[in-house]
Amino acid sequence: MLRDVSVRELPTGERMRIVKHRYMPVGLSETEVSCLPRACIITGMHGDELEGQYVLYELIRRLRSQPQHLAGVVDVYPAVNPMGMGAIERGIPQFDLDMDRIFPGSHDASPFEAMAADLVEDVRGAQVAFDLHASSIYLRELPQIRINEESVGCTLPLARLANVDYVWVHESAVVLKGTFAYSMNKLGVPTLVTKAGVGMRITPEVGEQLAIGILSVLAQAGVWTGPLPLVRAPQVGTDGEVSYLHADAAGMFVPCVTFGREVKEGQVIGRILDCGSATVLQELCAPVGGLLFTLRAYPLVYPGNLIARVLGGAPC
Amino acid sequence: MLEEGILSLELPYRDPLDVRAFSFGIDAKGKVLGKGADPSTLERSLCVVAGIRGDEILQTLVCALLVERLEKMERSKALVPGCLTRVIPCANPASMGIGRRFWPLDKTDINRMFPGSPEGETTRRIAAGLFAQVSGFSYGVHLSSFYLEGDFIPHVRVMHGPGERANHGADFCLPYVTHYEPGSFDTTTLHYNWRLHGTEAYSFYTRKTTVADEVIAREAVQSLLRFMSARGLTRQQFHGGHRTFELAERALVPVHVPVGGVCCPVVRVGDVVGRGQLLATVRDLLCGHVTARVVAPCDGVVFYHARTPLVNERTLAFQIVPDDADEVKATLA
Ligand SMILES: [Zn+2]
Repeated sequence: MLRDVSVRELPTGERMRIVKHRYMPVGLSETEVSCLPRACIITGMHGDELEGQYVLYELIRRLRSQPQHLAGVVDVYPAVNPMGMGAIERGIPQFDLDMDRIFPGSHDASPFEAMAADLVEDVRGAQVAFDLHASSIYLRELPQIRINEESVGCTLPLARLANVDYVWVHESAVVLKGTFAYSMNKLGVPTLVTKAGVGMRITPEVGEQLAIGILSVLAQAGVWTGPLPLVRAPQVGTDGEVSYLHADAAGMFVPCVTFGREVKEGQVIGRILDCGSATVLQELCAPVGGLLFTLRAYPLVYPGNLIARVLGGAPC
Repeated sequence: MLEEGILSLELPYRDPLDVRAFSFGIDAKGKVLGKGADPSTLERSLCVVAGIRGDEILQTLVCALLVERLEKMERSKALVPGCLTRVIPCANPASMGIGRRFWPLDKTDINRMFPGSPEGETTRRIAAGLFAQVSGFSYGVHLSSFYLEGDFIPHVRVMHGPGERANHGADFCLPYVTHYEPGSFDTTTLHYNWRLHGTEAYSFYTRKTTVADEVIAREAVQSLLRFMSARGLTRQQFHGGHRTFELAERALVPVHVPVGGVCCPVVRVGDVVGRGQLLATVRDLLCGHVTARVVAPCDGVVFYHARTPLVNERTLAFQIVPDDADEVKATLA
């Protein structure tokens, strides 16, 4: 069942709308399901992130194939930044702010902030929520969940079930208060932010891996009673356990390792080239040994651009 | 005058980023304050920054005209010895040069990256490099622009956050000084980090942003010079200006349009309006019918006016300073 969550008119008369698809147990009415547990899955916050679309496809396909196991409501919001998705633009067209920095939204400012407020209102009261992100077009990420220290009590147990490779617990000092997840966690809806794959692309394995993870969390929330999928145990790490590798030269980055594997300390991750003169401007080596969970996907680099993140022992 | 490159960074397929600063001032013995003069060792110092976003053209023009004025004032010994004034007209020439508001590659906003990190992403490195060059001043003025496109009555904003609390915003002699509490978004701005580190910071909003209008720019230069005069950086007096009204930003009354369409305003910023007075009509973009009449919700003065001709349902079209707004005490607690 498709319904509008928030609608605003554009100058051309077109309507900008955040919509949701509702999946609920067969044979029950709207009123009958209102007391059942509900899960909300939003994606498309950043219009250049498409991985979440395929996660939804894989998830809903599974829900549909065994409707008898649906014990609660699943609300799916495929494009909470619809105009950005349409333009494959990270932000909201005609608006400077990152949508994931304007929550809980406001009815006193722009229409976009009002739409954010409408979305919060709609998700409020759910048992669990997911905000599915890919990554920017610049970096490829192993499926991971980012949570902050403040909400670790209610989100970490769920994150462990979500079939991701890595759960990254951020210190509360670096918590961004304007995010959807921050607002929802404050309102008592445990909200998991997944980051997986790369911007502007779909990685089929990512979709399958996360769809299974979401099913497993839905089971925990009492929304799904089907056979429990087998999920992987994630590595859990804090800010101090992640090492960063940045570019110091400007040129074309070409990797020479396989993404998502363990690397050794000092191993060459890739090179920055000046192709016209066939010169290696910089050779980039792993700062520590560990899991290479982030790797630059966009070849053009400026000095300072992030090349890789490695989950390993804190470098001394 | 000392012109120097304060920040440089290699750019692919382009000349390196080269941020220029212009410093003015002499020491007590009449010697020009040389390279690397440390503002924190001086009694009074002022730093003016513009062009952190590439479309802040008017703001950069204001700085350029200020540099021209200060050059003359330095020659005529109008600057108070022992005081340093540094002007950075364009902090982001890489974006301004190609007509972009944000960073060319990743579209990030340098004014959301302060205090920056020398080991971080490109725009964090730029923010860190810039911040090192603008820190330690007694006064900091950032010529900035609003995140929504529009025209303003010239004003300065003063943040009530951690760090420096002093307020001499009325010394600009602009019509308004607005006061605001920082939101989570504001903690990465230059203004916030200046105040956090002891600089008395102001965000200066000119009437417009993306135009090169010398008349408007000279108004702003005059206002900066009035501030310099009142704060003891120059002996010269600058007449004109307003008796400033200081108010909390949340006292501004927002006026939204109820429908999408083409918006034809009938008032301009600075206009005095009465409750119920017509501010704009909204027409259907295709058939021309008037679909909404936007009226003033209160008596007051038009403070902000959205520049976009096309509006969405709920676009913030105007902000009004209501006649009954409370005046904020000039010095902060
Ligand atoms: Zn995202």
